[in-house]
Amino acid sequence: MTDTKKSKLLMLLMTTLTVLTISYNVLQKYVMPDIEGYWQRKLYYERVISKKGLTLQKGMYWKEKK
Amino acid sequence: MKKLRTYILVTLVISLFAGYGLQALMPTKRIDERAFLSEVAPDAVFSEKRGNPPHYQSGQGIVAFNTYDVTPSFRGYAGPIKLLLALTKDGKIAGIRLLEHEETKNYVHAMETPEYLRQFLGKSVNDPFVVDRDIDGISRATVSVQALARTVKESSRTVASNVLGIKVREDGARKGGGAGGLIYLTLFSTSFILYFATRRSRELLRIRDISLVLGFFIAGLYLSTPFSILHIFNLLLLRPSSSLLWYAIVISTVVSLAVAGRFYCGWLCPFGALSEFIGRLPFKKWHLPVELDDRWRRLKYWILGFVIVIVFVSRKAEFGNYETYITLFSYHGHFLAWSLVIVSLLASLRIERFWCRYLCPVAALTGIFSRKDSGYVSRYDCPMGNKPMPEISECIRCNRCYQGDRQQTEEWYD
Amino acid sequence: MSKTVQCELCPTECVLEDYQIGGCKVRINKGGALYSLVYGKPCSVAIDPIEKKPFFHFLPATTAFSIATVGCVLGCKFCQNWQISQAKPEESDNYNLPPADVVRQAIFNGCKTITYTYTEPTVFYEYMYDTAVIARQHGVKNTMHTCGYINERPLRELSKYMDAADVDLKAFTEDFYGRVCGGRLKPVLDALVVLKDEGVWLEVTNLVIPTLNDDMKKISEMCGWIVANLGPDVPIHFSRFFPYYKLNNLPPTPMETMADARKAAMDAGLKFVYMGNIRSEAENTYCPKCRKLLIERIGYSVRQNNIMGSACKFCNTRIPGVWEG
Repeated sequence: MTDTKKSKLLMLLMTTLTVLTISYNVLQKYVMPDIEGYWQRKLYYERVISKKGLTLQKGMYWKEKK
Repeated sequence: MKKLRTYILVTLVISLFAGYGLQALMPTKRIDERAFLSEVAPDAVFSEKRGNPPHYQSGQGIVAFNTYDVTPSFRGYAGPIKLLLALTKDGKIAGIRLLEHEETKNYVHAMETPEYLRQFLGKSVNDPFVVDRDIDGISRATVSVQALARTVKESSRTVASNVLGIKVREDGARKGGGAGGLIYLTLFSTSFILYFATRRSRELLRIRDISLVLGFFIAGLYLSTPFSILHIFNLLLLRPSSSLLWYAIVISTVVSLAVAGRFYCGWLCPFGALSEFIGRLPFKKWHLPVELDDRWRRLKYWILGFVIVIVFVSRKAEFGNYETYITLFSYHGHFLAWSLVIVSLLASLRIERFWCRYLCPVAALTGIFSRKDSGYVSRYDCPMGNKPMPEISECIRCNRCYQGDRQQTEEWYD
Repeated sequence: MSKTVQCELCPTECVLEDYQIGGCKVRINKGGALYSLVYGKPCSVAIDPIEKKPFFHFLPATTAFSIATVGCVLGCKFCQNWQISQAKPEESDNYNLPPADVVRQAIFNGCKTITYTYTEPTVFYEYMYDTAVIARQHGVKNTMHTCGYINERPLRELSKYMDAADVDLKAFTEDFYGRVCGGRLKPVLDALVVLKDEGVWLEVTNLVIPTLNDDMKKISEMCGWIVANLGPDVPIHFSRFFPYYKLNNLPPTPMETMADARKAAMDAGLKFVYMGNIRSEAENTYCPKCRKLLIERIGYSVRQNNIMGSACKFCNTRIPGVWEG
């Protein structure tokens, strides 16, 4: 691989990393907490609650939100 | 260069307006905290909110602030708990008012009452703030109450330390303060004088290496505050810091920029120093066609524009935190930020000053505001690998090629 | 695609994301729909004298088939049943007793009533409701012991099948409900008025806790409110506090305080003022007109009953309550 080819790949890599880094900063603030919370709750439900043999009975008196 | 300057400035102005506009239109109710200032400190007259951490200053010595401005990362059960606090000169809580929170209303109803919040009045910033010890708990609201106590504790300590100069327990105080500022100014002045000296005499060129080493150890490792685009962002967001060191860095860099272009890059930047020394290791350097190198040097201006848009539209300087030296010298960053550091340093083995040439936002900013100086013609041992007669924006003023004050003109190869 | 739901059963009205469990610990949002986790899964099943619920004016000397699941809408620091009210369904041992079986068991054991009690029945609303419907079909009465922290719509619907309710009116200040229970006073008062409006037989209980809710002025105000909004016929039971759960640092209620509370209630106009968990003549029911002893009680057992045809045997005054099933 020529030096030029190597440099092009390197530049591509760095540009991508830079954009990803900044995007990740934004994501971390707005999106991550929600995603983490969702997975924690889902895993808890699947590992603990459904194993206990508790059934799900359709609730009365609730509504969809937003 | 003039065009580039215009583009960047236009991007900046548009982003600033967009950011302001968005903030004004935001659906989330914007509590007018100023209206509550008289509640938390009845007899004080407050200035506009300013500073870093942002706060209101009063002539009577009382300082007021929105905890969310100081410790935005603390969350209760559902989101941040925002309070307006007032501190006396000696670090006692004089007033407290709950502004906003998203906790389940009915559980924390008691937390919102003046009767409950009253327990914080008179507390000193160095009190423990532990729930069920010096802070009353509330049934069903453990998480919320703990978050409330922690928010009050940490934000008060931060403000007390950085604004009132009070010694606080644990962290909240930043290093340096007054002493750091003086140390930095000494380093800066020394290097600046040496810069002018080496413009006159070639014998002292090696001295720049000493300046770079000092920069690395002092600005980098010891003070952990290299100059960064975040300084400028915070300045433009009207959130300057309150510490002497911060002002020392910003003012000295701006002055040197006006007088000597990218002097900072070539004589003080700790990451530049590291990159340059790594580049001197005996690894065969990659040969790059000039056209490619020229094209890639423009990339840093694109990145700068991108970061400006993100930071000023969101009005959060922290989103623009990607610079390698920030990650490296604060030893803090997520895995992507660290990969930037590692790849840049490794690349410096093959391409001299890799980060500085193609990616650094400080390089971009200082570059476009450098005044032309035709004495910098470049030569074979240019630390930036510049072509002959380069743009002044790419010159870091090492003075090796300088053809100004010196008697004889020199050839490309000496 | 938002899968958020808002529960509308109790005034807390939790907003729940997908897989999130409500504050009562027994209701969950799954895939954008709200479910009960404890339907047909009681943690406590027992047969008690109805006087224990406490109901003094409702089918005396009969037994109540009592059930409860875990969970509660509040978190009172003095809760007598905290081991089950603050427990999670996935961490507790539960029986499997569908609504029809509850009624079957009640009839089999000769209970005239099913009582939804021990914890807060609001949290197992669906279970309670379905059971109550079947019970009504088979002539079994429904009673509940609740803190009254339930929204109006579900309460009105439930009241169609509820014959009697004992409501804990824990204090008469928002501060107490906020700091000590994690809730509010106003919804409880609203619920009391709704129950009265729906014709459900009402009895009120109040646990007198030293330093927290033993202000006699407040107790008088509370009784005055009851007289004005629910009527002077509503029986009120004052209970004596003993240190428990999170309030181990407080002393038991002094006897004088209990006597003062009783006097304040009677001065406010309440006709039937009882003192639970204390052996005294305040356990007995007297005719408001002729003052003769109508029902003598020792603890939860009835020694004599002089009410005939829902009236005083001696002077024929109508005595408020439900005396015959």
